[in-house]
Amino acid sequence: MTTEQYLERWRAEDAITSEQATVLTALVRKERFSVFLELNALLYLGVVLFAGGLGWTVREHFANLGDPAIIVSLAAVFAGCMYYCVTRAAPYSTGLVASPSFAFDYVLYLGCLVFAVELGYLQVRFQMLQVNWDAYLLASAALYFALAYRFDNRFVLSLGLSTLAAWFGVRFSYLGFFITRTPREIALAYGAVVAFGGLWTHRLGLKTHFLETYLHVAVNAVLIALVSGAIAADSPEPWLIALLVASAVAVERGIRFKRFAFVVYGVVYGYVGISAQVVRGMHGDTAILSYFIVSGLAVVVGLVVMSRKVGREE
Amino acid sequence: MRKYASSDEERIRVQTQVREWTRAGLLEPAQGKALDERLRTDLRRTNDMVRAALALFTALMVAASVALVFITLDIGSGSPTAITMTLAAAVCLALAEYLVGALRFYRYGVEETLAVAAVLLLSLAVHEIVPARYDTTVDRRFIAALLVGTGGGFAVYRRFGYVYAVIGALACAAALPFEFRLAEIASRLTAAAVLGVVFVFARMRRLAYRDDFPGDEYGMLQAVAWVFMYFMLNLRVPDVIGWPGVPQATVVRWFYWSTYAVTWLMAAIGLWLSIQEKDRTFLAVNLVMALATLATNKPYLHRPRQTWDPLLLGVLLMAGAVVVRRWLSRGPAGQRNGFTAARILETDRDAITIVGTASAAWQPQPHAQAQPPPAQPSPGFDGGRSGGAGGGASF
Repeated sequence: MTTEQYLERWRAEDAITSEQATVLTALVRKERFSVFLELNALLYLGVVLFAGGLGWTVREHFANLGDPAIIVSLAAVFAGCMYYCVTRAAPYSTGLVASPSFAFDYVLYLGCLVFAVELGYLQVRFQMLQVNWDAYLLASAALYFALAYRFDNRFVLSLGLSTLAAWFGVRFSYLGFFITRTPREIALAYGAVVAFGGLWTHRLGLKTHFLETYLHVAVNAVLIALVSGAIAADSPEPWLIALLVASAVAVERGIRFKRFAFVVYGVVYGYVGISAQVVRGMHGDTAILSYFIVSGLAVVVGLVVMSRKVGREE
Repeated sequence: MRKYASSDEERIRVQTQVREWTRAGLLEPAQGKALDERLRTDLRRTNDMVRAALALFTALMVAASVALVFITLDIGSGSPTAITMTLAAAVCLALAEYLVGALRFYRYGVEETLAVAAVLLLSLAVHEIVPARYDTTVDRRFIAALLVGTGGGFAVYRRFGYVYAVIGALACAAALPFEFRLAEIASRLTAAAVLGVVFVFARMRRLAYRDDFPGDEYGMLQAVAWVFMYFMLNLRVPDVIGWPGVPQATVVRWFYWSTYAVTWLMAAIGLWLSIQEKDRTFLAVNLVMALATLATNKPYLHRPRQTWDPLLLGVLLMAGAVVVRRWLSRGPAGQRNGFTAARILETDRDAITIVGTASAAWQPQPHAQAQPPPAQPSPGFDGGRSGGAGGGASF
């Protein structure tokens, strides 16, 4: 049976109204065909290519172009983007706000990327902040977060999160507290801050739909750091215990809230960490391969059982 | 031949549509729930992420099991390896059949991986059993493996309906001519001809069934055959992705310039057809082809690439998207010829949300960062390296 035949049958049985049947049949016959996704994809790709090309051009041709031309033109693009967003934005709301226009989100994103190019150029060229040069990363991240919340833009939020990650990488490597440590502590601290930030803003009721973005970034940062510690640290036991706890939390929360990506994060990262320890203590290929068969089977059975009990069809 | 009943396949597809319509508010929740119940099958499905994880761990298990047999029985190369691989393939296939037949798994990750592993193992077995000949440059063993990959992938598709299996088969078939050590032109033209035949066949079936099962599968196959054919004929794609392209000296002049014309023609024809037929998959691959054609234009013409090329392409894409959006929205009822720029289904919003979230991992952030500045201002812009945001190395 075709979809149209199903619709016709449901209409005849009064499972759907005639109006609904008309609308749905038009969709099925493609009398109404949305290219919303394709246009958004082109716009996103255009913004990314534009920003990438801009950065590349500035880097390669700064000597020919000259500082004033670069700074003024970048500032003009940034100001133009901000003007467009400020004058067209809907009033601020703590909830989900629909974009006032098709290009709105991408104009804001473009403005932020151009701002990054300009700030990076100013810093590298004139080194205004001297030894505190990384402060511009933190300031950029703060600006992106503010803009993401003001204009309800997930692309800019992700830009803020990645800029914050860059700042962590730079700043904490200078601090005495971390000077003898490895980047995994930094990743752990970053993940904790991001998770806390997401949960805190969610608790305050600020853009609660952003929570999942925060948690995806935080969980991956934390679990990667813990797996790294469980595999490569001098004394891996504390890392492994922490990894198991974090993985268990990810799995439990993922099942509870039916966010199966987090279940998978917990299972995969946890498995890698445990396997690294188990394999390290084993001798001989037979034992190692047997371990992978038995453990792989256990994970598959566990996931199938979980899926049957709480999973959803998709 | 197909393990799943056509009626089940149809119901699953209609059920997916009903869920999308309900989310979009085109059906009341109660209606959606009632229709969902009526479309329910006895097939067991799961979430896509769980499916991916199950596929990963099943692949790990299969690889470890086969390796364990080899080590335990101390199997050497040649016939013993081929026999072991064949047996392993048979076991995988039998397990896949059992999981689908008895447990009614449908796109569950486990049974799919087992079926694909069976083809892979059989290809490796054939690679081992075919005697190597050292008096020729042709690798008969690899050719045999590719032939089995082609046939096996097609058989798995016919049996279980995994479109990616037939796509793999297509890739093996397209790779075959290159293994005969033919001239570059002959290899490419033969591969393109094979893909062209598949494209025509899939297109005929697609037009017959349209979007209803199995038309969606043929639509995917049509799109993949078309895009493979394009990349087989575009000699300059490797330049764009960082590999050296085909030197013009290795192909005759007429062929080189013919392929240049073909890349433009294919993208244009494909876009025209996909717009005429409102075929989303075909439209997507033709947009990719159009972008690839623009990106390979300069390498084709032996013109040096400039730093502002991506910038201009970005402007073109942004302007194009905005102009098309405006043109569509200014039509009667916000649409023209049935095309609308408005969002109808929630899945479109979901896709943008996923890209927005995942973009944290690939932000094109052009900060210069991660190294303290030198004591004196640098005369050049070569300080810094890429940081957490994946930014450019330096200014």
